[in-house]
Amino acid sequence: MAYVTHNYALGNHVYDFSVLVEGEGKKEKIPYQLSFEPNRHENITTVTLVKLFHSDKEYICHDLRKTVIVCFEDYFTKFPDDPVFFETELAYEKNAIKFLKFLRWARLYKDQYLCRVDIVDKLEQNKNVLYAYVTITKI
Amino acid sequence: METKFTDRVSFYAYLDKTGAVYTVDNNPSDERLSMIDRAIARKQQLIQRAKDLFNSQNGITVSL
Repeated sequence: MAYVTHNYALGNHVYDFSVLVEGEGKKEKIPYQLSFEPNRHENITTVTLVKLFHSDKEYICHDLRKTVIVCFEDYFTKFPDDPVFFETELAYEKNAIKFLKFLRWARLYKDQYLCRVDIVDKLEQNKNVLYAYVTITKI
Repeated sequence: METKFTDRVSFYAYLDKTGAVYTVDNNPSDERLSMIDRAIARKQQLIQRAKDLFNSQNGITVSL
C-alpha cells in the first residue's frame, strides 16, 4: 500500500501519498492529496481528493481506493463526530461513472458509515445540470 | 472537451443498483444553480492551486 504522510496546516488535515499506476504500457507513481477542511460555522468538513500530476491521463490504479479509505479511517478515528462532505458534478459521463463506483464501494462500509446523497437535476434544452452533495457520517 | 450526457434513465437505473439512499431536486431555483456554478469554479481553482503548489515544491515547470 502507498506511504501516506499527514500534515496539519491552517486548520486543514492534509494527507499526501503517491500510488503506483499502470497505463500506456508503463508504470508510474502519481501523487495525490486528500484534504479535510473543517468549516466550524456549518459544523461540517469538506473533503477533496486532488490528483497532483498527470491529471489528463487515464491510468489503472490498484492502490488508490485502499489508501483513501485508510486516510478516511484515520480522520474518523481522530474526529468521529465530524460529518464529512463533498460535492461533485455528474453531468459528464466519466464523473458519473466514478461516482456510481464510489457509491457501490461505499456499500461495503454501510455498517460503519452513513452516506447521504442529495442530487440536483435539471435537464432542459440549454441547461444540463446534474450535481451531487454527499455527506458521510460515522455510525 | 467532453460532452455532457443526457441519459438520465440509465443514470438513475445504475444509481438504484448501488443501493444508495438519495433525494433529487428536479426543480432547483436559479439561486441554487448559480451556487453550483460558483462551486464548480471554486473547486477548479482549488485543484489548480494544489497542483501549482506541488509543482513549485518539486521543481516542476509547466510550459504553455
